[in-house]
Amino acid sequence: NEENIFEDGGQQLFKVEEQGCSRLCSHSSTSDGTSEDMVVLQLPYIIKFCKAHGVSKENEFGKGKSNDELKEMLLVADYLTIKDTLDYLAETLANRIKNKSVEYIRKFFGIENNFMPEEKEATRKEYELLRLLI
Amino acid sequence: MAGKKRRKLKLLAETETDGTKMVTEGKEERLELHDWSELPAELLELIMCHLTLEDNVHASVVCKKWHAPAISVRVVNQSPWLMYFPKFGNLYEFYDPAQRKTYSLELPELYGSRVCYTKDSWLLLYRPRTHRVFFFNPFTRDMIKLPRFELTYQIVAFSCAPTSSSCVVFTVKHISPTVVAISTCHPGATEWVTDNYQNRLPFVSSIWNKLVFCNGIFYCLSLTGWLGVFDPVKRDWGVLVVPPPKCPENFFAKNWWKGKFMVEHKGDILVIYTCCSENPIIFKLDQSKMAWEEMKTLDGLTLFASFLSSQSRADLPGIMRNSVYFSKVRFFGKRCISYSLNDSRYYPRKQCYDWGEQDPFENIWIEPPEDISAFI
Repeated sequence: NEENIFEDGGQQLFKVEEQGCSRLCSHSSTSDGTSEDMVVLQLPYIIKFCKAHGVSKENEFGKGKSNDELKEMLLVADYLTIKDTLDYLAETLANRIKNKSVEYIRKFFGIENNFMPEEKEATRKEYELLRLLI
Repeated sequence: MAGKKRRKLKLLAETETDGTKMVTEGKEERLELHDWSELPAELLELIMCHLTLEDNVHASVVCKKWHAPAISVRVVNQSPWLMYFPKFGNLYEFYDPAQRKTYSLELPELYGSRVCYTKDSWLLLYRPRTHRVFFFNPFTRDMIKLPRFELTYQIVAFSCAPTSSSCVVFTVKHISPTVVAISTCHPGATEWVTDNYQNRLPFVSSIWNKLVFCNGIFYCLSLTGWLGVFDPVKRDWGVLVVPPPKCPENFFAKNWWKGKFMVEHKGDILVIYTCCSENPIIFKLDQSKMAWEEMKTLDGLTLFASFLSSQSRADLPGIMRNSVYFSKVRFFGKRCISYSLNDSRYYPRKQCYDWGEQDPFENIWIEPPEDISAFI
């Protein structure tokens, strides 16, 4: 895969693989500057992150962002194959799950427990067994 | 809260090559707005690989779609590797019992030396010709020298990685049944410090003794099963008034006293007694009762026994739990000799190893590096 390096004002921002490159080029805002395009919406944040990357600001970057904002950035970073940003976002999101109960995680991310009753029982048992082993 | 609406952004990636327009509109090309519960598995895996085992278990039961990614990235603890010291040449082999794979390294730095002890991926080695004592990490190739000392017929151990400021090296020499000479050293010291100590109960130090560092104390198990203890900070020595573990009569065969291994796990001292083809017996020191207690189960723990030092691990892959792995690999089938407490048998069966006849310096269980990608 050929690597394409995107720059802004002479500063190297991020490397994008060929697939991501063609995707990036095909997204654009409308003539009045607005866009419903997720990629276009998230791109400025990704650029901002990349500019700050390498400085300790890295850890601050995810702080103010909601789960959904991080999720969209994650999807865009994955779609555009920007590895560094993707890794950072994944780690930030993981930190939000750490040391939390299952109920908390569900509530926090707005996820429904969709295990069927029998599955719920089976998963509960596996869960309890694993907890004993830890 | 995640909304239910999905915006599908169909993307037409047009590539003009030789005048042909290529329109790709596969699943990969569409950027969908996903609910948290339906994030692509690869992205969930990427997030979950940062979680500890406990958090991983929580994540795996959040919802159906989270289950498989959590399981696929779940990591349990890494097993120690059995490091072999060659009789000739510089090729050192490392056997991983979990993967049943062997790795090798060329380590010319260890020429002419023999291993004494290991902890936290560090080896303590001795070069008899020059009386050189040194630490070596075979994975980083770091070496830390200590002042020279004659260690020829003594056992020696250390408390923790030599990169730590609290690292202490300890060796004990027999003077008489009631007197020992204890020598200590540490990285950065210019000489070893030696003192004589008395013990009221008779105690014999020999090359067959086992050493373990636990809760700030060096424990020394003698041939007959008595425990000498040395506090390196207070610099005091004594023999615990704990009668040796009780073994059945049929245990007292040739060299039975040599088939002992001592290991510590989270503050507990464990001793493994072996004898020919008998099932091994494991004892734990109950410090409050001042007695050895026979253990019928290790509660999921895995012990790795080698002559000079032994290791313990929790959370290994299920099949390895509640077992003792010995420092012998049967190359047919590449299985390590192990004893399962669940099944009360050796694997493979019909073992009759006289640990007294094994070469003590042949191999040792060592903690592998965290990143093993360089060795694969």
